[in-house]
Amino acid sequence: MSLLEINHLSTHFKTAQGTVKALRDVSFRVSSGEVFGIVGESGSGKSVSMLSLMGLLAENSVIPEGEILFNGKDISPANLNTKRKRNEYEKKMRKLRGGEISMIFQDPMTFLNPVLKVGTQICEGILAHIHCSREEARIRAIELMRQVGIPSPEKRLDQYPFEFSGGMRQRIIIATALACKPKLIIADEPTTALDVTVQAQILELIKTLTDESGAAVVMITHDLGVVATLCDRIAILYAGRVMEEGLTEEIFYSPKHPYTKGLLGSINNSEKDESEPLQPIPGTPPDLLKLPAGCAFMPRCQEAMRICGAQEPPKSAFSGTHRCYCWRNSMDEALITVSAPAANTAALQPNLALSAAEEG
Amino acid sequence: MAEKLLEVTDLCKYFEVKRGLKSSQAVKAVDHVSFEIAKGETLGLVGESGCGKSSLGRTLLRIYEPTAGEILYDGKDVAKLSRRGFLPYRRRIQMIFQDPYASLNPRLTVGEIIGEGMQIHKICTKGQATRRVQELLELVGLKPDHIRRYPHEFSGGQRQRICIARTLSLDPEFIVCDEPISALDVSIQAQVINLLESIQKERGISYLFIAHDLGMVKHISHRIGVMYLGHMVEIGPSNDVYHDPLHPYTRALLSAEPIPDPRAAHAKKRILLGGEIPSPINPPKGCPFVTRCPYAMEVCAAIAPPSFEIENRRVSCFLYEQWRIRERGGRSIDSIPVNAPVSQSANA
Amino acid sequence: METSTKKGFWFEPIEPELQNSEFIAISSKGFLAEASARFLRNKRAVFGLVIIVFFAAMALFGPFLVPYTYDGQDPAFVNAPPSAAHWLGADKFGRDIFVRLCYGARISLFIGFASALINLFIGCVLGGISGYAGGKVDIILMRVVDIIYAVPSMLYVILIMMALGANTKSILIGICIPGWIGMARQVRGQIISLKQQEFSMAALVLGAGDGRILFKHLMINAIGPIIVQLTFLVPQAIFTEAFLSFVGVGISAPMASWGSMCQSAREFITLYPLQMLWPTLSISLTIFSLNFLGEGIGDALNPRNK
Repeated sequence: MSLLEINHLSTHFKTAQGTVKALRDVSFRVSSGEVFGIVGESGSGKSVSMLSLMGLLAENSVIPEGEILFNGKDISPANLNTKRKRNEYEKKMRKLRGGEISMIFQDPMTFLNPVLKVGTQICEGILAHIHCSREEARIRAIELMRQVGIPSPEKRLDQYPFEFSGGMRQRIIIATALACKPKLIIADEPTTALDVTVQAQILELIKTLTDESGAAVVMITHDLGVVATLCDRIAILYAGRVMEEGLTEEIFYSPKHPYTKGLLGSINNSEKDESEPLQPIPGTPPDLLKLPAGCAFMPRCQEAMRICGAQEPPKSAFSGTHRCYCWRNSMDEALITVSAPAANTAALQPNLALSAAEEG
Repeated sequence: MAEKLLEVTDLCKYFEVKRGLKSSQAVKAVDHVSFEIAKGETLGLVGESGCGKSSLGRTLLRIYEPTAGEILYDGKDVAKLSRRGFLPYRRRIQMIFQDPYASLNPRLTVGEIIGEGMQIHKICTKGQATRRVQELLELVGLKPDHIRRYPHEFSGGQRQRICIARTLSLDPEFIVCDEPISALDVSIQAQVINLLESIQKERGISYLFIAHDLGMVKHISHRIGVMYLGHMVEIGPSNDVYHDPLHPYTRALLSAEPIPDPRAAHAKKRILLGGEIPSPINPPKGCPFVTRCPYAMEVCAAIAPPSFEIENRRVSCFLYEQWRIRERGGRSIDSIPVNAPVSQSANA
Repeated sequence: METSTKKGFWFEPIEPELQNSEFIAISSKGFLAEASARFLRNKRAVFGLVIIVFFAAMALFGPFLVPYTYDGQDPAFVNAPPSAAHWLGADKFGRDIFVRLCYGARISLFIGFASALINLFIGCVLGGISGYAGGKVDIILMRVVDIIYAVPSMLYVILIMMALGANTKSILIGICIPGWIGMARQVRGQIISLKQQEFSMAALVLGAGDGRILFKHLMINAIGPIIVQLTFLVPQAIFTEAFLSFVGVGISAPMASWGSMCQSAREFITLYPLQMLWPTLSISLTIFSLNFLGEGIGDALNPRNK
């Protein structure tokens, strides 16, 4: 059984300009002991998916559909239409957050309270979830700080966050995340704010700690280098949808989706010759307020077909672990449900209208 | 090598930091840095945050006034020119900034932003300027009718292309690119890199390309300089520096870079550095890297290493004074025991 | 509904004109157009604007609607209640309250807006120079500000009134001497933080001169906070004038001001409370509306505050 199971999750945000569809029909599973990478660019919904899971979304969010199962328990945030249901959900999540599920954030400074000693902050988390005395919590905090490689933790326990460097702060965050022996750790760009040499230290630390504890890690990142180093499986998100999912090797060595191929083409691989030009993806990610009809990647796709602008692509599976959503991989007329247009472009009218609106 | 465009000698930029009422301390953001850039060449500049790479770029453009040193641009020392005297050089030296959200004035239209330089230097009439702005927009892959839009309507990558169009409006010979891709998405980074490369091919522009991402720097640069704590620790042709780094810091930096290739990433041997960059207010005496260097010797803690020429490279590390690795029977740095007792390695 | 006309139609490459990869969904609107649209959606702010416009209209055209002057006395109507002849009644000298209220509005609004504009000008220039130049200029200007700030602001007004006589001009000068300080500090702070932004460096690199950078790049981006500060200055000045006239050192009789009207109604407040009600109501409504207006403008110019 999977530790975490997300089925058909959608998240929308209501704004003054309209509804932002941040997440559309996203499904994936994470098992214990694996590192699962969610890769995507800004606006792809990678962070929103995890915030939806944790119930930490902003006020203006709506979750129209979706089911989330954690460790067999239903923690779906959808259809919380009565106050009682909302309170119950909130109570359930409060117990999980920081306990069985913990998070590591991108910017350690926003997570740590600047006026509290770091020891107090680590102990707080322990006391909230584990029944023990202050002394025991303190001993556990020292043990955790040693585990994440902070020298002389007995002394540093009584220091304030500003007395730590960026890398050390991130280690403290990791210590707080590990405090209650979580089953699932969500790491949201944990190394983006750090320098390369410090990033290497932190990645190494996350790797050894998860190997030891057997916890599952969901790693949210835009950095393909980090993914290649750390992750067992990857889901590629674009404009709020999963484009491709598979084992790290499957994604890197036999990518199926044009977007995945594009991403791999735009980075400078060590194997690549310098003289070989990069192959960027043209254009700009779509505005989530006005998504194109059909596949969201169609406007930038080099291999786009007519159907791509009319109907969302179906799922095609390549192995037990590798799946992808692209018409190129399932050119089967039987899957088409939209009616063919009389004139060539009539069915593609929504896109025409959009382009016309922009010209005007 | 082709004709030199820029030659920087012993450039220093110190910032005064007030400590208490009277006393002040100098932060040595750039400390005796020397390098040159040829016409049509790209020099990549890498280093971690706080190493002084951005300060160096800004000092070259006189956004910061240099504390000491020479900036020979086209044979003339521009470091000591007055602000007015430097004005003609503003047309020839331009800059692309890191944050495409902060580097465009939100209250001006794209047309006003790109046309401003031409207006300041009175290059052409209003009508010509509009036409030229439209050409520039097309050159960077945007549409001429975007001219009346405001910056916030564009995505990050589009904004960075607007910035590029702005710098190109003055037809410069030299552009300092200050981390132009760090704030962009992966799929967009390559667009910007390719655009910069094609512009270089077309116009023979020189770049100083500042970044912390080694992979992209290696791709775009002909030569690479590595900075640490205000010092240029190593500089040389990009392939040599990338595939056979000499300075211990360069080696660590390269090995720490996550490779976007799972098999290579797992096969890679990492040199994990302990600790973090010391504060530039209180840098170590001697070699700046001495506190983290696995090969540190006694001499490193005492005096700062001068730069040693090794083939077509320069490296500031005493290891290369002692062994001259390449010249003496190909003994490589790998054969030196890591963290060898200081006395032994000093006598070897 | 037919499912497919000819085989393979859907799997042909898509028409390039349908692939608009540089598509921008947001429609382009100027900054001001967007701000005014946001302002008009704010009901309280629009209410404030309507009230201010009403008082302004009253100040300009009110006196032409009735056949009285502010000092014309009619013994037959001493302390008269509102009637068809005197819409809001008459005071203890038989002067028409409505017309006096209109003249009061003239003085209040004039002092409010004129002092705000003067303070805006001085504050922007000095604050802008101080923030942009930095260093010694900044230190000297800010010490001057500190010195002016150290003296109670009411003292300036009273001293100026003693020197130049009790009239609108001297009240205005008295209010303006310490009045620009808040504006100057606000502008200075804004300029200092905007100066660090990359777009001002970009302008410098393009070769822009100091004037161009300060006004075209920095000041224009500080306009939101400046206008908000401005909307605080107006009610402050109106209050100061009303207070001075109320304690008897402001606008001298027989000229009417809302403050002096309150003062003269004070004696008979138990007998004729309406005489007190009109000027106080005017002051309160004006201040309320100005605050709503200021808040609305602030939100409209700075959408992220919401």
